[in-house]
Amino acid sequence: MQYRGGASLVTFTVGDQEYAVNSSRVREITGRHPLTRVPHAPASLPGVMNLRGGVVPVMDLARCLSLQASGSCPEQNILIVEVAHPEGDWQLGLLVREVLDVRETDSDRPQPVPELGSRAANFTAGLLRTGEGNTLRLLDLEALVRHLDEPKEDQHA
Amino acid sequence: LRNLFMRMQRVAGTVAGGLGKVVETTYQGGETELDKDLVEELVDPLVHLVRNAVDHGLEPPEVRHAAGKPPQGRLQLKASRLEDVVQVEIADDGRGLDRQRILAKAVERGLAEPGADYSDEEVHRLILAPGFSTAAQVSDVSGRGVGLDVVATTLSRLGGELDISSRQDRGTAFILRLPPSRASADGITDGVVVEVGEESYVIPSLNVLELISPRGEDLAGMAGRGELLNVRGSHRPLLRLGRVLEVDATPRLLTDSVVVMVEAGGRQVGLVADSFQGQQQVVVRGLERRAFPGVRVVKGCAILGERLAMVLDVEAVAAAGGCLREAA
Repeated sequence: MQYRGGASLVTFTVGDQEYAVNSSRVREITGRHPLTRVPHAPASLPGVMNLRGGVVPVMDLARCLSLQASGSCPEQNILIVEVAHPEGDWQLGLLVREVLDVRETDSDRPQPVPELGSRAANFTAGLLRTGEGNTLRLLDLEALVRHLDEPKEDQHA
Repeated sequence: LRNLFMRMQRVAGTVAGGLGKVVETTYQGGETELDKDLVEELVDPLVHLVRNAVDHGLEPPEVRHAAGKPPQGRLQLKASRLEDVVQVEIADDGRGLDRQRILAKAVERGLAEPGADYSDEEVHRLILAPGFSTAAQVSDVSGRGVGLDVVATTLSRLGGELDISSRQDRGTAFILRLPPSRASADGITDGVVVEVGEESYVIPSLNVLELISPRGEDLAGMAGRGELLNVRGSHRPLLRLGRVLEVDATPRLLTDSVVVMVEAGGRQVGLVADSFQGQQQVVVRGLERRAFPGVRVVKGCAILGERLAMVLDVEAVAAAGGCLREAA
């Protein structure tokens, strides 16, 4: 297959859906680490992990995207990604079920997301076609993180 | 620190020359080592303290002569290392801090209560308050006490502290204590490790007054005021960490729990945990605030082997538990 100037993507599954992030944003892929809960944190952030002496927040993607994580197959892997921020990039761990592979896309211009209004759609930057003709949802990391700023409703009981 | 001390010697000489004073500066412990960027940070505070000592501490030669002291003032710089603390001392043999004048000034500035009984130490601390000044005459050398507060602030930013010891007519010593490197300043803390539910939490030892295993007869509950513990005759409010931190675990009986007495916002509060695991030095990393913008109760993350434990901000915990609001 001929490379036509598209982007390189890391693809993975969350729940039973396939997602992708730009491979330039992925620092590493690791197995599940013990998570330490952070009090008063939103449910989408189940904790922080110790990555070689560094403390990395971990996000439950299935929960964020309101996807059912089927009980039989808990999310097993953590994708460490770099989130852009005006004060400097920072690292975030994404709980995913399975990391599939690294693929090239036909174009780096994502198609608009048709299913507007759903929670998952808010965090999807667009749809991309792979060389094999599959459609991938490209995760919008900054949008995912932005929702963390929203105040938690039941801060203190 | 030798280079730093030699630099201070020159500063002292220059300042004294400008004021018609004579000063002999000696130093010891020049071999003491300190992280290079900490040394850089110390230059300004030390210059300030040296100027201050020569200007305000040491008397003019004629006054010294009248007091039976040698006309030349003595300034001593000392450095030493005691385990994990580097101590730098700047001592002069001048007039010492004037208790009466400091108190008068503090009352005038609203920093102290007239007629109250203050210990010498408390009086000495007053000169570190922002904008405090005791020199009757304005001098352009060290200002008028302006900046001692800056010295104290710089030290606390570096994880250190400033102490003053002074005796009338015998002299004043400023003692700086700081960690030997910046890494240890924001990276290591002494903490009490407790367990709540299945996780460990660290309470900085700095905040901890004592640990208590509550006895049934010392416990009291008051309508609308929550649980109280009688500590030597005073009833202190109890805060269950499990509830405040929203830990998903069955609460234990208070008599099976451990109470960590802390001081939060000037108030003594008992934090209730399941068990006490020990007191130890822990390596602390920051919590990523961009991921947890709403979390106030956590100061940082302690690394306990493979696992992590949240280091609690006791003031925020007390506030979240309603203890500080109640006090207001």
